[in-house]
Amino acid sequence: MLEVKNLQLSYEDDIVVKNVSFSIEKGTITTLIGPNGCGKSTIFKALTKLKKPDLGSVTLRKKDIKEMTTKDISKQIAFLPQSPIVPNDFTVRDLVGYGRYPHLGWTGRLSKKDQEISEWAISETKLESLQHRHVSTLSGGERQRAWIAMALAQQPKILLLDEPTTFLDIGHQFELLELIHRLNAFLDITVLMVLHDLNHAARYSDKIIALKNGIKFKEGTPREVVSKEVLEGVFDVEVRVFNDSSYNCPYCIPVNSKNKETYPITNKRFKCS
Amino acid sequence: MFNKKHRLIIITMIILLIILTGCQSPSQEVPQDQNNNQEENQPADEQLAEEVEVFASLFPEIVHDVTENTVTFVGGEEILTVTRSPQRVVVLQNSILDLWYLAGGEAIARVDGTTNVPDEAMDLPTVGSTSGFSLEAVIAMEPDLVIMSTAFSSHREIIPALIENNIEFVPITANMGPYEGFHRNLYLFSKILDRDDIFETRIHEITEEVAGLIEKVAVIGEKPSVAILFTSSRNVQLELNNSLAGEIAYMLDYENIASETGAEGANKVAFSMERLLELDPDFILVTTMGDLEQCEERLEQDVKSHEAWATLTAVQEDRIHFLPSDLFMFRPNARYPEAFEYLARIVTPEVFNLD
Amino acid sequence: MTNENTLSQLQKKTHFKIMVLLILFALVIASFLISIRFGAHRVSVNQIFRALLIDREGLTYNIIWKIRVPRSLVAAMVGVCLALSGGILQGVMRNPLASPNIIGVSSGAGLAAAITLVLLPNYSFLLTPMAFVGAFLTTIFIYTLSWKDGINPLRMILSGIAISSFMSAIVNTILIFHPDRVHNTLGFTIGSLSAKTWVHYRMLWPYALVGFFLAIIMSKKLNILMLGDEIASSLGLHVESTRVVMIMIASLLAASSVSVVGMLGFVGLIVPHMMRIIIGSDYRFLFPASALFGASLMMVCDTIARMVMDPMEIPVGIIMALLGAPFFLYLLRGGKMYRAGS
Repeated sequence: MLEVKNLQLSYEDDIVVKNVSFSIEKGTITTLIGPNGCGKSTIFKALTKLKKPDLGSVTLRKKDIKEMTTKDISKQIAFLPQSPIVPNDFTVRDLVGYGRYPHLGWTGRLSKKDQEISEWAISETKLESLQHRHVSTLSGGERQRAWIAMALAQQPKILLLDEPTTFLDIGHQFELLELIHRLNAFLDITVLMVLHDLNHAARYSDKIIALKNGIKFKEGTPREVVSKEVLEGVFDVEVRVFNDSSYNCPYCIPVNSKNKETYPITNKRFKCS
Repeated sequence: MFNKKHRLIIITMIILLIILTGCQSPSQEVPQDQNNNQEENQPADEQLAEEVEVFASLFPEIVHDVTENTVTFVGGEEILTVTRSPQRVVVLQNSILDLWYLAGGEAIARVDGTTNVPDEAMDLPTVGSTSGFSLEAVIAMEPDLVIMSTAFSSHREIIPALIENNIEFVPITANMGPYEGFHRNLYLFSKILDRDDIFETRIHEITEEVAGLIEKVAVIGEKPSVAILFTSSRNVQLELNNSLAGEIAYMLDYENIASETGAEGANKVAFSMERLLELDPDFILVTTMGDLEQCEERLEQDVKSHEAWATLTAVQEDRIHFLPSDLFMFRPNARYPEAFEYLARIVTPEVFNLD
Repeated sequence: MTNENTLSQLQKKTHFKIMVLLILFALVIASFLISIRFGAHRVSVNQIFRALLIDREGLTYNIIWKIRVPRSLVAAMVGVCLALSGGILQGVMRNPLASPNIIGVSSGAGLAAAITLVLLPNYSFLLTPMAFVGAFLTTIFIYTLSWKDGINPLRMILSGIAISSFMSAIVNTILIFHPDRVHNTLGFTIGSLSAKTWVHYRMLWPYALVGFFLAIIMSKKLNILMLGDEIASSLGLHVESTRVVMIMIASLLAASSVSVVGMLGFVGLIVPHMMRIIIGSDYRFLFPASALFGASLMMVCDTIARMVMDPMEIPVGIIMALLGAPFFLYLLRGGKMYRAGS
């Protein structure tokens, strides 16, 4: 569905993404992982035409996005950046309504159908009781759901999420990931997201792509990527990998840093009672 | 850096700018209608023609033509014609008002302030301050003639409105020496007022007296040098030959240590201690604008505090004089002879003992 | 069903906003009537009506029709243009302190004015077109200077401040060498409506009208832009081209006003803020509200400027500054700041 070929992106003279290729199949959940600054957010910018690639191409359902207008793309791809801004007096309902923008006629008015779709998006994200609240008054978790509702109202085929769980507590993180999983399973929305939590990535993704220093380090199933060798190579950290039988996915815990000079080993045992 | 789209947008904007600028230029309404009066009134009398010949020749470059009912002259950049003997006159600057009354005229309204206002005009209604007057108030007076100064943009900008309301006006240019302007404007006014008699007598007296003083001083061979320090509460400057005091000094042939030409239209230059030391004038004259105490403080700070101050000849010989502002800051107008004499008695007192 | 409840709630909000707009429109009419009622020449309402409708000539007619009416209309147009310009910039830059000054309009016009009024005093009729060109060119200059892979609003604001300071320094240098011309520039520096007549109105109204419509058309786009570049782009907006078009519209609106009236500050800054508190950040309502309120405010302030020390006229910019400064302090002390903050 979405194909990235030989993508190169740079800021001024700094090449941030070098020769990256991958493809996203319809109806799958793919997660990008990698150290900070490895180019993940930049790739997202290229996918929404916010940044022009130096080299390479991005094709959406066999069409090069260079030939498409941002409006056409926005009817198919919805993008949620990290920490989005919202002006103080938008209600949830207002915000979700903006998700309909790519589909509106020249008057820019929301038709009955648009209102219905907004309502549907609000109900999918369980925000009915909060819909007339100002977005700025919601908690972190509720706010993320509101943004997802807006993205849903766009009726996209692909959802791009840049670190959607980063600022949430474990409960809200779980809720959000379950929501994404549900949207993927029941609405057939393809998801490409960036996560920092490897275990989340392992449990919820069909495919994981690991990036390091702007190049693709490894692409594969969670079992293939969440492995000692790969993680050590990507994150410079020694991990121990376990298997979770109920969800049939790996999980890992870090044990040591590879930068032995900066972080010398302490044999001290931490008392946990 | 820029992609094609950007370049296109910028070029479009620049083209738009050029088109829109065309729309922004107000059509300069030249006071052509005023000139139409001229053709209708031709001098009829022989005597009148003679008069015209004699008196028009005094300042031919200013006053171009005088007929029975009109005067054609150079006002600002344009050649204007006004009707003689106006009855209802509004003057927008008091130093000009002073001249108007001196030439025998009267006004129905003036601007705020008391300096340079002749006694008879003190009780006139005002239309605001000279830089912030009300156009409405001027028009409400229903004047025949408005006299203003080209030095103020707020004066120049009402010209289209005056034309639209068929009100004649006289713009007085400010870019000449004050005494020269004094003489010329009085001449123009006396033509407009049809009061050559006053010009011939009262004004003539003044100019003659001034000329006499100049002659007197001319007797001395080498003239002393002077520095004229213009002091305000904010700074100290040196006056040039086209300032009020500077012109008087220049006409008396004293040597001004600041004798270059200033930037266009300026009559002062920045004060420089080096120049004062280098040229070491015989006399240091001080003009003050504003609060006297503050000016003295400023003088103390910017000038007298220099160590080298005490080495100046003028300081050592006690030849520092404060010039009274009513003669050397504000226009002396009718008191010009007094101003000339005041200065001469300071700088070249010896000529008065020769009497 | 929640459906009906929701719809009626939404309708109520919209109704309220439309009410506000109607009230503002009435305010404009009222301000206009007040401004032509008062002046140095005392006339009663009766006399005004008679002069305008029956006589159509004479002193009162001349004063009302040729001086007060055009002057008030110019004030209104300037209010519209500057308020819209400020509103656009606050949205595009996502910065509540944005105003036409930061895009170099004022300093560009000021420099052009200094050059015309001080160095070429005989060409003072060229003031308006020169100021217009100076204002607009400066915006283009600041825009190109801060362009790097697109426009970062903060970078543009900083460039604007730098360029404006530089131009101010040049203007001051010019004034140092021509101290006798300083009073020439006072009216322009502070903003003055004195002696504005139909000529100036004719110069301004096309901008006000076109600017008004453009702003209304672009209001939805500006709403989306307020959500951030990424989301706006995700929703299908051409972020860069929308931004440049809006900045240029804002510049044209401000340039047209500044070239006619001088460097009037505060209108572009405070009017959108005040309206935001009442009617919200939705630009579909904020723009018309700002335009209407800007017009009223200017007309009222000009009337005050003319009457407070009658017959002397204070430049209207001084009244605006006197109003603006306390308002600014109020903003700083945390009055409701509708800021696109994180």
